[in-house]
Amino acid sequence: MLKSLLLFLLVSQAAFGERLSLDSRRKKIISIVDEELAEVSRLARQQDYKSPDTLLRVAELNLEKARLWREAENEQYLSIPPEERVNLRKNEYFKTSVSFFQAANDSAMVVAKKFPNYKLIGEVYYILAYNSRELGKGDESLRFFKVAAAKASPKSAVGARARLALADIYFNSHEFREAIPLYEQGLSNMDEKWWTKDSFNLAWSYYRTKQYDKAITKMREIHRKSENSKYINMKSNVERDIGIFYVDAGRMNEAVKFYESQGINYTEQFIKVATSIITQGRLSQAESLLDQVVKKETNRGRKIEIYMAQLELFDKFSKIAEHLKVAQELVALHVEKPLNEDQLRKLSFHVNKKAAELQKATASDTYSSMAKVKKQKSQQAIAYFELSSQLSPGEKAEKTFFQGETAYAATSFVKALNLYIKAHDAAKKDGNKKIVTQSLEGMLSALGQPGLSKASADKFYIPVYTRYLANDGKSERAKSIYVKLFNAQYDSGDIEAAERTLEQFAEQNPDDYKTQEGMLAKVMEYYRSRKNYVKVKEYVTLINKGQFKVSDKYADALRSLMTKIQIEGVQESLEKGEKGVALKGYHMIYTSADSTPKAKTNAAYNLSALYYELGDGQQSYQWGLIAAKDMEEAEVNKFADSFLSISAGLFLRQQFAQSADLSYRVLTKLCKQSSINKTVAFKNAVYISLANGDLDKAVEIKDFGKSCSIEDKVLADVTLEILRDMARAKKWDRYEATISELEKNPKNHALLIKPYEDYRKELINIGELTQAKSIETKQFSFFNDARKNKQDVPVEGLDIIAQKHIRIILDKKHKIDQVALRFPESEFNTGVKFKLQILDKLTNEVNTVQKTGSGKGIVEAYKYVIEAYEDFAYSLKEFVPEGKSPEYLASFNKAMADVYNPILSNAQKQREEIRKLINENKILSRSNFAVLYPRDDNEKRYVPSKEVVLMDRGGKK
Amino acid sequence: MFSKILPTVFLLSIMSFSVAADANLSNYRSTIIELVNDGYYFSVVPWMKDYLVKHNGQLDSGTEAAFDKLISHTGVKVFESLPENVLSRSRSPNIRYILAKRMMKKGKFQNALGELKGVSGDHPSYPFIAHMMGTIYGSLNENDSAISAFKDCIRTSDYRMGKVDTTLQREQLEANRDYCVAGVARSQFAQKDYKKAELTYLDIPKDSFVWPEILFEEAWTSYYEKNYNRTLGKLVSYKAPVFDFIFKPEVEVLKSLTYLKMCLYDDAKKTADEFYTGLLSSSKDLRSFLMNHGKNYGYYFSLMADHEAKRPAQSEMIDHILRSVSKDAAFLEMKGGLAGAMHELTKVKQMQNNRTSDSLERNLQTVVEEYRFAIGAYVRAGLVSKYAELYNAFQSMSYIKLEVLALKKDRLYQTETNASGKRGDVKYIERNDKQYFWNFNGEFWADELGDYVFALRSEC
Repeated sequence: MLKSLLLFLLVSQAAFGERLSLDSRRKKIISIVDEELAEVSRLARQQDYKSPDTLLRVAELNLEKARLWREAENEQYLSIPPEERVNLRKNEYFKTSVSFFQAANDSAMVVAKKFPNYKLIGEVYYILAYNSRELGKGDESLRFFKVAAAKASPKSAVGARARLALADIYFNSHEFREAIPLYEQGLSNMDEKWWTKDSFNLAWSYYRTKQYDKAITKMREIHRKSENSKYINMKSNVERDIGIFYVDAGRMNEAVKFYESQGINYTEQFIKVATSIITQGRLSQAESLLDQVVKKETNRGRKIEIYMAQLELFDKFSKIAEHLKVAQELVALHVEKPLNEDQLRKLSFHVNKKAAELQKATASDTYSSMAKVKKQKSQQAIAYFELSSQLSPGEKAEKTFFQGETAYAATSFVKALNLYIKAHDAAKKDGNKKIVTQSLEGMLSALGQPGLSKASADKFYIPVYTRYLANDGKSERAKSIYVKLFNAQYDSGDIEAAERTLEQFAEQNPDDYKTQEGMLAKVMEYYRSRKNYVKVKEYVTLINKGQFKVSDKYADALRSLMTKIQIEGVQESLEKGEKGVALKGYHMIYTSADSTPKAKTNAAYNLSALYYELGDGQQSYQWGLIAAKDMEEAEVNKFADSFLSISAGLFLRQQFAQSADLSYRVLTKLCKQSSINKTVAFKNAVYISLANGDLDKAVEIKDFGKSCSIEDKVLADVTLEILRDMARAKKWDRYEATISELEKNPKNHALLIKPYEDYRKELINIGELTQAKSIETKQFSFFNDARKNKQDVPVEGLDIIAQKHIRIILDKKHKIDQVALRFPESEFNTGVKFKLQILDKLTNEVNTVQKTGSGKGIVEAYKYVIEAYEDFAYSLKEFVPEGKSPEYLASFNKAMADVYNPILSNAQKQREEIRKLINENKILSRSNFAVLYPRDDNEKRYVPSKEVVLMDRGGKK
Repeated sequence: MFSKILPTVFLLSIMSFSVAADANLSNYRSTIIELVNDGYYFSVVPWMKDYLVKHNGQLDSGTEAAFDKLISHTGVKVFESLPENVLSRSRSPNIRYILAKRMMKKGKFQNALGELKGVSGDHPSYPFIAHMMGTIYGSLNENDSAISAFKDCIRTSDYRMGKVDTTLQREQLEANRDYCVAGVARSQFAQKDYKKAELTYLDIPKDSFVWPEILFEEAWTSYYEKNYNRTLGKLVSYKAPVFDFIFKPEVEVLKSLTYLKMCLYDDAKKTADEFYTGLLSSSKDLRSFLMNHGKNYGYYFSLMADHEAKRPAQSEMIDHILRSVSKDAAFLEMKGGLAGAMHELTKVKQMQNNRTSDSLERNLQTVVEEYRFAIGAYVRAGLVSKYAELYNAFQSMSYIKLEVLALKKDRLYQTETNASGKRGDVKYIERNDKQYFWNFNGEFWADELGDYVFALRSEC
């Protein structure tokens, strides 16, 4: 019984290969399997699951059921349209079969685990392996097949099948060395219909491991056995593949013999072999095979067949170079003697297809970053088009045009242009208007490519434009072509041709002034540059006669040209050093009625410069004014340096008013311009006006400067300068207004300490003490704000603030001086005590001054403090109480020494301190002398008279 | 009867004082012989056993004769529990029979034959000895020797039948002879000489005690002869009311198997299904019943006693099996032994009450208990055995059903079924010259039993 069950498994596997014809039949079978499962399950229970046979049977039945369901599921799944199938979860459709495969696995696994020594354990593992394979568990399947092969006797059916299954796995994963012994063992123990099929894999395994002789022997055995209906007929497969085996074994002749013995046309067979293996993706073998066959073949017809097969092969695997070579061979054969209709059709198809594909590839972006590849593809495409034209001589022009297009796509514009011209000329000859037009379009496009070098383009402009205009002389486009042709001719120096083109254009487009003007300008410029003024004048005459129609503007331009010609002469005189001639020339231009305003302005400017060089400031100033007035703002900006130089020159020549005026005129022109010279002109104008004592002019220029976006700082600097002059001129009302204006900007506050001091002093002079006090408060406030905001305060500002504190020191010092020391003793003591207290406060005040940062103030403060200390100390030392005994006096002097000595020491210490400060900070102050030298030397100083000036000794700096 | 017993009583009174002494063992022997001669077979069984244990060496002829006589009334069952070394002191063919039986059970067939070969053909036990020898040869697959021994058995059984006193003994010999006829047939079957075996089976008369059982073997023989219609015909005889005591699950298995062989898959499957439907639940109950009562032989004795008193058991199946067991020769022998012991006890109880009668009564009660124990054990063994048969039959049915399903499935896989065709036709019946064709029409006539044939066409 058991034996029959196991046999069933093996039989059913084989039977399974045959598709169940009817769904109802499958249902019936499943119903029976269900019954069997129920019965076997009952049996297993009855046997308390101790019979491995029964459990194995459970596994087998589940496996069978799984397979039946899998087939039904497959049918259902495959019945879904592919586009819908893509979006489905495939697993969902195979759930049922998977569950039965799993159930089969579970049962088999129970047997494997519980009955490791079971006599049919090999079969159990075979089921496990089979199931794993169905469940897509490749590794597990392999493992189980290995165990099955190890456990089952090699002579048993399962043993053989397990080995063959394993061999198939290795075969499919290309592990042919592992597959071979398994196939050999499996096949040696079975002789059923699949023998030929499995042996075929073995033969291939031999072949893959380069055991060609064995492979061929096995193939021949399969071929022989396939005659017997007992076996699967593998004859055609053998005949298909044995060729390649022979070829690779270097036994080509035997292959020929084999095929001949079978009555098979070997060329046809080899082509068949090649075609067949091509479909398997074995390109190199097919290639090698056909290559050898074609070498061997001498018959023209068969050779063509082989070439045709090669064409297919190389086409399929995109071996373009090889494909092209074969195509060339075939075209050569065709040229020699025409191919038959079918062959020619196929060849033409291949050639045209490849040409088109390659052309497309060349034009695509795919190879945009691979210049070499792109170039190669274009060359191949061109070669194919060449072949195509040979196959279809009537389409030569069109094919050449395509070649041009391909070269164009590959950015080989020179090549493209040559081909377009060739195509154009051929098409023109054939009367093919379409290609004439298309090739002209191609030429124009190629010419317009930036990738085309100028030198190359230059070569093609004329042949291309000439061809174009021969085809189309009147269109809008033709107009531009005329211009281009004209330019090309002009640029190549062929002025006569350019003039002809101009004439033709004028003839074709009499109303197109603009283009005619452009061409005329060039022609006239050509002659002008060559000083052929005769020719220029001829053209002017022709224009005036109306042969060439030009606009008024152009007429002006012509006049300008004439002026330019004149200026050119003046310029030459200047270069030669003939300044007088030049001056004359410029005067003439300025006064000529023919001169354009621009030429006049140009002349005015040059006259200003020329007079400046000649040292005639007045003339230079005059012409400078004219030039600055007539020039555009941008032009003034352009020549601003020169204008300012002229202005500076005027200043140096003491012509302050002219200098300031010229700067002011320049400023007015630069006012809205962005220029660094604008500030220079502004400052120059103000300062020179001040220098010239023209305060009102300076204020006017300063006020104008506000509208010219002059920097605030520059404006402030200039205003402070004006303030000084106002103070000097005692114009206190304007002074106050100006300072108030500056005060509006907090950034200016620190700068205003000094101007306010000047104003404050004036107020005190006129008795306006309250306002003066208020200003002083403002000064302190500006100083403190500046400190707080870390703004710089001008040194004179610092000194002013310091002086205000020194005033307090002086007050206190004065208080000390006012108290006289005298006896009686109690009064003396009170006086000393008072003076010591004031001295202490004085010392604190010095710190305040020190904080102002005024070098002069610090030195002065120290000076007063040191004086106060020393004065006090010496007054103690020199004090002699009246009417006292010598003892008392001795005692008094001793006691006083203890007081004045430390005070003197302290004064000396302060002298050291201030010395250090002076040296470190390089303070130069009138009080330096008083503090740097001892009291006794104070008077030994040289005080120069008021008018003395220090000499600059110069020397190396 | 009373006077006859006196010497024995006297001897017993002496023996009770010196029973352990070797010197008095001869007196003990005399007493046993005397009691056997006086017909106190069951009363003397414990002493005979005791004597066999204490007596070293071979039994003398007088004792052997008494022992043979004793066994011919009690049967061997009561002595089967003695150790082999004790039993081997006797040259008695009955003792050799017991020894051989034990060895055979242990698979020591040659040793068993060694014990039996020395028994003379004249000995009253020889027919049974020959029967056993045939069985042993059969087990050794020495079928010619087996046939020879079985034929010896047939011959000597016929001969001995004329010499026995009791019906029970005669019936035992008749049954022994028929079993030996069956033995010959089985040996021929084992030699694959089915035709001969079939003819030999037919030599067992239908009124034989063994025939109902042999009918099944005949069915198997027909099966092996591929005479499936006859197999079915023989099996259908078991449906006859006269065979209602037969409990043989294998009958249904063979029937299903036969249908299978004839490719009558639906019939085969139906038989298997019906078998499951009809017996599965009862089988489970029987298993529970056996598990619950363990080896409580007293219970099984009572069970059988109740059954014989027409009190129904827990299930129809148990009743059916008890009915089957109660027809067994071994059971009948033990039952006869028990009846004999009880009868003898009645007799002893009627004796004057003294130490001797007390001793005999105690002996008899011991023997009665032994019989009850043995009967109980036998009944249980019968039930267990039938359960095992059922178990195997269920398995077989499952396998058959699976085979049916596999074949049906195979047909679906391979070719279309062709179920057309008439069932039942004379031309499908094969007969031999000892058989006549009887068309079974649903009724059973005693003389037709075993001769039915079916006329089904194989659908293979």
